[in-house]
Amino acid sequence: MNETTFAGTQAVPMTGAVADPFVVDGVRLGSRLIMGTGGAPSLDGLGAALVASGTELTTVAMRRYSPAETGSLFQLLEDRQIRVLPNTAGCFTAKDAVLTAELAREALETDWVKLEVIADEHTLLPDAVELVDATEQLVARGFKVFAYTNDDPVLALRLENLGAAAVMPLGAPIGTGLGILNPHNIELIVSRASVPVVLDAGIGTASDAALAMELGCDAVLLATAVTRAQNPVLMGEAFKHAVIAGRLAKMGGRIPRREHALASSAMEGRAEFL
Amino acid sequence: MGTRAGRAAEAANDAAARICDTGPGTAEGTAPGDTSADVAVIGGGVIGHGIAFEAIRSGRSVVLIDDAPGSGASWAAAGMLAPVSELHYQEEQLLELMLEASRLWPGFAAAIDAGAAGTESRAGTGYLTTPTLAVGADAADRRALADLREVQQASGLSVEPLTVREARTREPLLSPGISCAFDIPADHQVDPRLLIARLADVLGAEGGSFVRQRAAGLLWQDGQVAGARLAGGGSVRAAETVVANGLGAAGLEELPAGLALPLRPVYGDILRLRVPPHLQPLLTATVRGMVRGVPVYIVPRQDGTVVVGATQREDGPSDPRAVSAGGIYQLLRDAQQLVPAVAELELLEATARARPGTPDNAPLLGRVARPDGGNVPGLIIATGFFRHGVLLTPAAAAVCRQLMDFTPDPRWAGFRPDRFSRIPDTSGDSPKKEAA
Amino acid sequence: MNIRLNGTEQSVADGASVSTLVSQLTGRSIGPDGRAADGRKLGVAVARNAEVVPRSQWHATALADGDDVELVTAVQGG
Repeated sequence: MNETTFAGTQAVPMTGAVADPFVVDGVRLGSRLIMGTGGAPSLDGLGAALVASGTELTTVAMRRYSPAETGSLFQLLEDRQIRVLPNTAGCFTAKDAVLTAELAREALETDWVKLEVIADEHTLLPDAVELVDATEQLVARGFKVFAYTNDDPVLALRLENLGAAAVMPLGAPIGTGLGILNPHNIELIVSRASVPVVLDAGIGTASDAALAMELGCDAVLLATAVTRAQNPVLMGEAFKHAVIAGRLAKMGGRIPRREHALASSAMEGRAEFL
Repeated sequence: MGTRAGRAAEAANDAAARICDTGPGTAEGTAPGDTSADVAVIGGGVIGHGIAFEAIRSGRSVVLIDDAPGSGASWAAAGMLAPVSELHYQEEQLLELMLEASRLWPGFAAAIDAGAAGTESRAGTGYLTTPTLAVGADAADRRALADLREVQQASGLSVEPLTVREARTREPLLSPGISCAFDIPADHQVDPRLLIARLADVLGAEGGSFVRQRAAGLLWQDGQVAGARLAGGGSVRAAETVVANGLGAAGLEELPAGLALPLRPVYGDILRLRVPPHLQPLLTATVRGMVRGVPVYIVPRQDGTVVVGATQREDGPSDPRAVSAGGIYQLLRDAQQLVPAVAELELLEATARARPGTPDNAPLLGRVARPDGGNVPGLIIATGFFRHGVLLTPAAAAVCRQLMDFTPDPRWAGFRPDRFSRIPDTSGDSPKKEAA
Repeated sequence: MNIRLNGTEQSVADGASVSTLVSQLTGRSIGPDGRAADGRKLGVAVARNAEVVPRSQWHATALADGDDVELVTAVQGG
């Protein structure tokens, strides 16, 4: 697959001193932070937060056209040259999700889709059965499926085998800000995946995003943690750094945890006071 | 007598060479190993039996020469009649022959059954029109099978995608973890061991003879092949001699000058397993899987067994029938990934045999050019069927019959057995100009 | 004639095409290829009776009385 550089960013994004592009479906992205756009109180605020976050990919929902909002969000993203990842939020069945994805492909001229098939409004957790069916159908229709999934290593691998372009396990239920509730499962998903793993949902603050990257995720997707923060622009910038910091820490290689202390200053050559 | 030959073929696994057992139907008073007929077929595998059957059907008398009929590659073969799933990239001409064979199979099987009706045998050939499901294990297997499907469709073959759920509705014991499934209705099966047994029955009943000896070479007379010379002395004289002894063909003496038969052994391991009653039926369709890029198949038989195969090795073991532990491991590992219940089956048999491979994977089928132009009279080569011997049997038989009738079909001229040879040219004509 | 547009009854001219409807609602002029004449992306899609109508078919697709039409666009979410 040819790699294309998106939005005129540097050809090979740098993380610290290391060339480290995030490549998904053959497309290089300059940031490992994917932003959702839901929950922002104003379009201006959203635009500023998106810029502060450094994101190059954002999710959007598909809803009925209302003349009052003409061009608004779509135009904002066009102007800032941010790639869109339409989602199927609000879909409860594979059938709904497939129709929504088809509409999104038509409207936004992308075959990328963030597949969300939600079981109920109380938990907003994915319905695994419908998710599997929808993935299979969308892959057959030529979509690049970013599958929003439970933090279930078995399900994640199955989605990949069915052709998902990326798997997006949740850290915690949407909008809860509870962080990564099962880091072990996220690590297990990462260890078995050969497509990008994007930690999606549940992020509360910057350290959660850093942890996701330290666990080996390829990227982090979040919305509420920025859009509903007291100062979305500051929070957007915090996440930008958190994702870079977590990625660098993963690549840098953490030290092993030890039971006992290990002095960092040499004991030899101390002055002796008698 | 015919059924005796059939049972002998069924038991050929342990067949020791039966010297000078000229088998049923030998003319009274003929000295052992000194026979004559219209057609001598060297080699008693599926191909040899099929050709002999077709020759008998055309009113010719036939002698089949083999010291251990049915004990070679035919003994191992699973018997998938799978022109669609056996399609490989850039083998279009072979596909045409495979499709022709596939078209011939129903009539061929019916003719054998009709012939066998007059014998003591009760079993059929195991010819079944069970469909085939192609399934993949991971995302790369799914893409590989989807790519192959495009070529299969471009060749006019029917390969329909199923969702995993649909596939598992049809075959509930398929693993829920498979990555894709395709329905291939045109790929069927036969049981090669039953097939050879029934063919032997019919040949016996129709007056064919069996010479239980190894053919050592060709007999020549007045510049034409006049039969086969037997290893134990004696000979079989025939107007047409068909060389159908698989890998052994290249080792025959007195082959035409300059004829190279570039056959190489491609070993395959294959398993036969019994399905315990509580798991029956394990499958109703043949499952052809690709598991992390490695092919594996599971063929369900009517008798409650399944055949799991087959590896492809070119490792040259010291004993050509030695079964590879690694090969068996791979087969069971991959079969189990597609159908987890395979782990609960009873292992009946592990078999290894060598398939006769050729440089272009296509058979060596036809007559041989003569240095001074024309073809060597009295000689037909039919070997090198590689993985496709069982499927191609009726086509090989039909092609041989056409050659004997001197009405060759130009479509199959590309399979001439001398295509890898440099026949010394003494006529000024290229041998290739001569149609089959 | 009357259609249902995004869940509400609406009357449109007899024989109007999908293209006409989209043009009216977005206030943009639309070419026969289903793209905005001003060259900027429209960012909308149309489903008619639960089937997506590709933009290339907008011009050739006539609306019929009683059609259920959904016109969607990208909004904040996810």
